[in-house]
Amino acid sequence: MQDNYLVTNNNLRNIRLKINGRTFEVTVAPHWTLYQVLKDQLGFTSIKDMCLGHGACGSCTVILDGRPVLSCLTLAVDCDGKTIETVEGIDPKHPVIETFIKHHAFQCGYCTPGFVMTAKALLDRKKNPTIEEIIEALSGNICRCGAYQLILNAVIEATERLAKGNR
Amino acid sequence: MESRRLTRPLRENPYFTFLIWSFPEDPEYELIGKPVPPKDSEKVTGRAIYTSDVKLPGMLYAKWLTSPYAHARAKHIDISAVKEIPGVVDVLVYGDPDLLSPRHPEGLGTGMNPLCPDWAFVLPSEAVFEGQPVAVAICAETPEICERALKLVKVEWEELPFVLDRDEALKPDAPITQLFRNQKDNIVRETPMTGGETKYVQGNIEEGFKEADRIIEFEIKCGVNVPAGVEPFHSIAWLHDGYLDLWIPHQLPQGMMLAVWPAAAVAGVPMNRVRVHQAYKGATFGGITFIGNGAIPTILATLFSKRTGRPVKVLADWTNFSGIVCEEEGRYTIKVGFKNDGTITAVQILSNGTYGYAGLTIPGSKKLPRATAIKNIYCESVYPYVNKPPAVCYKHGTQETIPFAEIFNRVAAELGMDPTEVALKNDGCYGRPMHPDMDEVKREQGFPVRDSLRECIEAGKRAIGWDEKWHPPGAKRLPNGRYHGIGFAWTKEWRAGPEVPAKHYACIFFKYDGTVVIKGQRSFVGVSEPTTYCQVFAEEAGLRYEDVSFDNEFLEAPMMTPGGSGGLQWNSAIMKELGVKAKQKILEVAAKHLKKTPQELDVKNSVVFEKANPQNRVQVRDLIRRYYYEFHAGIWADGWDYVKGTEETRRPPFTDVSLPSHFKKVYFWGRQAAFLEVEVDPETGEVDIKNLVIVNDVGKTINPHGVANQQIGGVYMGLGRAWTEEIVYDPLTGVKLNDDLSQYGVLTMGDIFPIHCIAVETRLGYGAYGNFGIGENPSCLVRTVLRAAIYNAIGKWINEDPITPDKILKALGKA
Repeated sequence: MQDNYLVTNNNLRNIRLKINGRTFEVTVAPHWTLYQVLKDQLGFTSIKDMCLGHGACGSCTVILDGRPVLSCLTLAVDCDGKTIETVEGIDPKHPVIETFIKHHAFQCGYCTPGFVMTAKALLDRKKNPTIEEIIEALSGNICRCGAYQLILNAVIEATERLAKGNR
Repeated sequence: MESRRLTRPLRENPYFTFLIWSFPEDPEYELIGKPVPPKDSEKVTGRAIYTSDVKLPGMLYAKWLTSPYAHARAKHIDISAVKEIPGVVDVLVYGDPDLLSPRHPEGLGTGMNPLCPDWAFVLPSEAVFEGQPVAVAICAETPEICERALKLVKVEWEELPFVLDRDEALKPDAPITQLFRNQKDNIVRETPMTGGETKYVQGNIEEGFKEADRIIEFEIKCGVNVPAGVEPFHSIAWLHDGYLDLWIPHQLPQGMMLAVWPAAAVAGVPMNRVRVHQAYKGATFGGITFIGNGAIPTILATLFSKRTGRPVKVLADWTNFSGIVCEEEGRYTIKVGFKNDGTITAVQILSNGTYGYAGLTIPGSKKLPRATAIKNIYCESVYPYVNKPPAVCYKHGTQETIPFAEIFNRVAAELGMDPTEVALKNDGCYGRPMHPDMDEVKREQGFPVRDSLRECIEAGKRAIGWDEKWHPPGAKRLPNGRYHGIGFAWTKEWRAGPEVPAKHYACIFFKYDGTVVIKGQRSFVGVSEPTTYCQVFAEEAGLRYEDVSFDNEFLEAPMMTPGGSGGLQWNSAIMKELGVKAKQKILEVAAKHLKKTPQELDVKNSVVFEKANPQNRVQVRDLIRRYYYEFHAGIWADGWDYVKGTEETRRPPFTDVSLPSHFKKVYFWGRQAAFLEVEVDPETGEVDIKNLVIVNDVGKTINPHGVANQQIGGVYMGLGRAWTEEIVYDPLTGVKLNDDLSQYGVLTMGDIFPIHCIAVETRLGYGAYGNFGIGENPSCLVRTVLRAAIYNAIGKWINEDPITPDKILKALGKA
């Protein structure tokens, strides 16, 4: 969360982010993380945090220039001019969203946006991943409710649908 | 009859199967047992708002100072540097007039409420565990300012002697671990929740041991595990316009009242001016949110809001690792007498139990009498106060299941018998065998004469290939050099007390557009609550599923929680009652409109029609619009309706049950089982889980995805406790060494292994359609089945959890 009292005009930076297709100009302090800017300054509430910024849970995952990143470990100033995707920006008809819903691939749901973003990043860059590749890609995300099997069901089906060109 | 009723991807998932073990005579329902779209799908699209997401206009943030010592007292506190920091709005320090309480010198806390099971203070001077909030809280414009200010608080600490080990704390010369209690020793005696009971006796234990052909003794030790990996706990209070708005990180409605009551008192408003908002909860599992963790941040937030005039969010981020531990930590000393045919004649369990916000539990005292034919039982627990966080129950019941499930496996091992045979031989209720004694009782109460454990074992054995794979301990070495092992464990259904349903309420309101909202006070914690409740209500009311929604913010109608463990039995019953009443109302009004009697009509898919002439029909939405003032008052149902039984609810299998005789005769017929196949590497001590079959008698499946989620979720949490999770304390300082997610062993997708879920439907539960809630059972079962499978692999019992590779190597004589 941003701290306006720890920064001076000298070290503030203006950055431009393209988030979910829209351009945002934000003034940030050099130590602010992307998580702080997206969640606290811009109000993207889908981005969660259960490890308190240790980069250990994957709940704050967003897609930065096509790659999944932990927004809690990414400095906002390094994102100037880059493109960011959050769950809010994904088409509700996208297979990864529809299959998570269809397979009830969540319980409390707190980690779900992080899983969805990690899965989408995988499916964006690899057309037909194997099950082992899916597991590997998602192994940095923690679901304390333990919905792993149903999450795997969802991503397997999303993979199938995308491979068939069914968006 | 086996059936698959889960949505499945086209490509097979090799890590997962799900089967419902049901029977042809079961009636078909429109919605019950069928996959339906989840009502909480906004969790996937990122639109679900959790308490930690809530941001109010002008909101301030607050954080506590936490103790760096396992036991210490803040003697002198200097906050002069804090006040100089821009953005600090308020500071509360131990001794502040707003924190004083006539009930205790440590000040304001949960003890102000006589219903609270234990003391927890807002800002005490004495810290009794490392990481405990203590002495100072800062309220500031941002969380970062809070953190910066806390670093500038100067505290002169008086370090006090600490004790971590529960047996050490019980010694006569042990240092006093919690001075504020003003006791001369560390023994927990009486709390409001328990009445001080520490012993359970059934039959004559000495006679039972005399009857035995053989007697064995063993000891199990369980380490400390913590919630970890959940939503950080945030409480919000906003005192404005004479009202107090609260967002409480709390799951239990009754417990929430324990938070609301003191918050209202602190705010100086009557409770009819308190509004409690229910955002989604991120992984609470029941007791995590128990009183200390829910109430204390709420009281503090209210105090700050009152003092600053602004909304305040208290960030109790410490709770996941530092605030609470799981109830199961401790030592269980178990003595079992049995005959050579596997019949157990006596069980004695002595334990040093954990103690905390959940009150006291006597391990063995509930499952042994309620789920076995064992006549002679003696369970006693001594509860020491130590310098660790208070214990709570989450994914509840392991404390009971550990001694219970171990017994049958140990007896089987001693006799060289198949453990499933020993389990079946001793299955029963209140000292009576399941056959033939319980058959008659089931008939009397209107239940089907089914044998839950036998069916669970049959289904599980078939799924894992038990008859082909089970072998004597340590007898099977694989070509890859590893040992092969297979294990079994069982337990009974988890259920809250029989008085529970009478405490729970819900209501419905018809809307002008023909939809219906169910209203009740119920935290959404991830057990598919809105989906399941809407399924039951819509099924009974004859309405379309999509026409029904569930609003969980109605404080005046507390429902049983958690819905996935025992709560679903009672909440489903209330939903059913509501559905029956709603249908009655619809038919009464439709009768006037269609000029027929209600008995001549029926309603399905939100259409009322004449049974003899289905073309004579009216849409429910048109009926409601036309006769809105007959509908708008709403309909209530409570647990008493269900308990007493009405003509409408008296349907098999839970028909002739009525108070008080029914609940004096409540039985626990539901059984649960787990089968596990492992490979153990004798060189590294690593365990590779090859196959896990989890079999739950769910009574009747309502939401198959909900069942599957509870099964696999429980497996991962239980196996984490048994295998990978443990908080390590530095014995010299009492400080935790691995209290963050990067160092604490929560299982991830990378640890995935094949799980085969089986839902057995015996309809032997007291809930609607005969259901059981299963939120607690899988985690309890896998806790024990891992030990059994490793024993079968290496021929040695590992009696200390978590079962890490070093312990296996030690057992093999290699470390």
